[in-house]
Amino acid sequence: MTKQLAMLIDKDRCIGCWTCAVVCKMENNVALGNWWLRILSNGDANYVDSAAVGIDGLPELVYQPTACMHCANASCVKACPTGATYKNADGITVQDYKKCIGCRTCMAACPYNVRTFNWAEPMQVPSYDNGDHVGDARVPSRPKGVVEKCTFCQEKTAVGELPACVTQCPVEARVFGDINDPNSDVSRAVRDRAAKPLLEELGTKPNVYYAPQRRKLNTIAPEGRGYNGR
Amino acid sequence: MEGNAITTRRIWMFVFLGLALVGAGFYVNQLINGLQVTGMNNLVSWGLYIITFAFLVGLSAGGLIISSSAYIFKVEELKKVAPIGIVVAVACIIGAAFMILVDIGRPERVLNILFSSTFTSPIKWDFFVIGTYLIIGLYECWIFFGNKWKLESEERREAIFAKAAIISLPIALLVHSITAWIFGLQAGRPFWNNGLMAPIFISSAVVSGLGLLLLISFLGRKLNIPGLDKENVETLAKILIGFIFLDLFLFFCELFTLAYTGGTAPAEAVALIMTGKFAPLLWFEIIVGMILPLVILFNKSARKSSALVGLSGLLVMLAVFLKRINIILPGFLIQNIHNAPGTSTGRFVQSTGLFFEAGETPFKTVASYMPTAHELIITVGGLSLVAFIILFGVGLIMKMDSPAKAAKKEANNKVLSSEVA
Repeated sequence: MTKQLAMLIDKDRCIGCWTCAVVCKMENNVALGNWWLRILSNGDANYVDSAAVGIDGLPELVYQPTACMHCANASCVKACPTGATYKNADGITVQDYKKCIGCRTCMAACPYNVRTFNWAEPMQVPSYDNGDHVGDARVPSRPKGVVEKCTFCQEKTAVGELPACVTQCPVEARVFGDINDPNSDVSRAVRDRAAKPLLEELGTKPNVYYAPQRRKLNTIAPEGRGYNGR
Repeated sequence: MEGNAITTRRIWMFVFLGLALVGAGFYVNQLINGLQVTGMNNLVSWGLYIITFAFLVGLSAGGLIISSSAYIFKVEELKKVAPIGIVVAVACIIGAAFMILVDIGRPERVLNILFSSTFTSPIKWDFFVIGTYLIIGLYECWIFFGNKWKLESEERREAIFAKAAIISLPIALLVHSITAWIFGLQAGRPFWNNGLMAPIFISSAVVSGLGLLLLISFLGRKLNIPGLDKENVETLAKILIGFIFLDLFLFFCELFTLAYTGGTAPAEAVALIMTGKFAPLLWFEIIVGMILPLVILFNKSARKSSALVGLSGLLVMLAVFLKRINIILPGFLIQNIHNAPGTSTGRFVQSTGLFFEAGETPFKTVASYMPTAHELIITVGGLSLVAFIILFGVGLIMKMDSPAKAAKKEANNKVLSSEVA
């Protein structure tokens, strides 16, 4: 069976610290204004004034780090007119910055809104012009006018290293590996936790799985008995 | 009187050329600075440019579909509309190609579309079909305006045009279907992803195209553009009535189907355009852009007034433009995942040095889009280019000797030469 790299994100472990997002931005030299990875929380557009409510009705924030899902049936790959976006042998959805014409059809096609566009010449503070990368020097720099997104750190995973967000996660909420190998860590974890990808119903076959938080049913605190009655 | 009109045409040609050049200047600035000069962002990644592109593709249909149908189904009266129909089609499709070119981030790589080996992308199909459409349009222009055909008999010219029409009619329908599929095939955008997209694009394309012909017939009334005489305009107006009804019906079918269940993302989008942010556009489109022209065109005496007919042409064009906005933007505004803090916009806002500035975050939960002045000027430049080409084409049509006249001239020449001999 062909290789298909996949990731499991444990929502039970994630503490929403944004470390992965910041590390991703640094390692990949993502320009100001763009983020390949973002940490969504429950609650909706009105989250400033509506409390995030957990499964037992008590206030509870659950975090959902969201980046490219590396779908097996990717709508962006189908939509790309130049073949700049394609699936490589590892099952990664790759973006070829040299072929991309910047038509942004892939951005319209992506159901997860994870693709970002270089609206201007990419700008970093401090600037990395003199080859002085803070992040991974193997990551190619991008010109203005091309689309970019999470690559599962393809420069690292191609030589057997783990993506930056996996290694740098302080609570080990991410598991990475080949989903087509039933004995890999990620396959086991997906089976174990009944993890599901996002928007499965669209048929894009995403390869980022989210393990739900374990149910912790708290009893409502009786009057005057302290936090949750404990 | 006629000489006056010709001067007016020339002046307008210069005006439009000037506007197009101003647009080109701003486009150079966009090339240097990137698409940051527009109002688009990662959440609404297509804006005014693509809306105008879809609109221009639509405009180019009307004349070509009508005149090709006239030849294929042998409707004698409407055959004369063919020259102006072709000119409009070619001008608008050039404008549409220009709008695509200004929209993409790296226009110098546009030929990558030709040389890639993937064939699943609707944009790629569109590239090929628009290319074919342009070539056929230019070929048909050549039949009308080329020197080679001046001396041919009218029957022969018609026969050749009828053959070209057999290709151009399906290609014209295909151009609109594929443009609709750029949006309609995206499973990730629930509001776009429905089967009625292509029929709606075709019906509103014919509406706007006919509207443009009616507008041209009014503006060029002093030039007496062949094919746009009183009787033909009245026939076109009658066809327009039918297509407005078809368009309203299809639009209603779409909205009703999406909204009926309720609670779904498409239903949310319908609520957005029926009662929300886009409601003014929708109701203006339906009441002023569709119903008012219907009232004008149903009134027999009003239908005789070229000013009122031209006005209704302008109104339906405006309605179709608003409709394109109402189709494309809500598709982006309704998102599958809308948890906080949302998506990074990709637009860097220079910080003022304060913490927690309102609106200074690169993340947005609610997508919004407003075209910038820069974007508007480039779009106006594109539309002026279209107007310039149409005016140029009108000049060609005016110069076009009617074939009968040419034949007579030739006969006269022969008589003269034989007399001399």
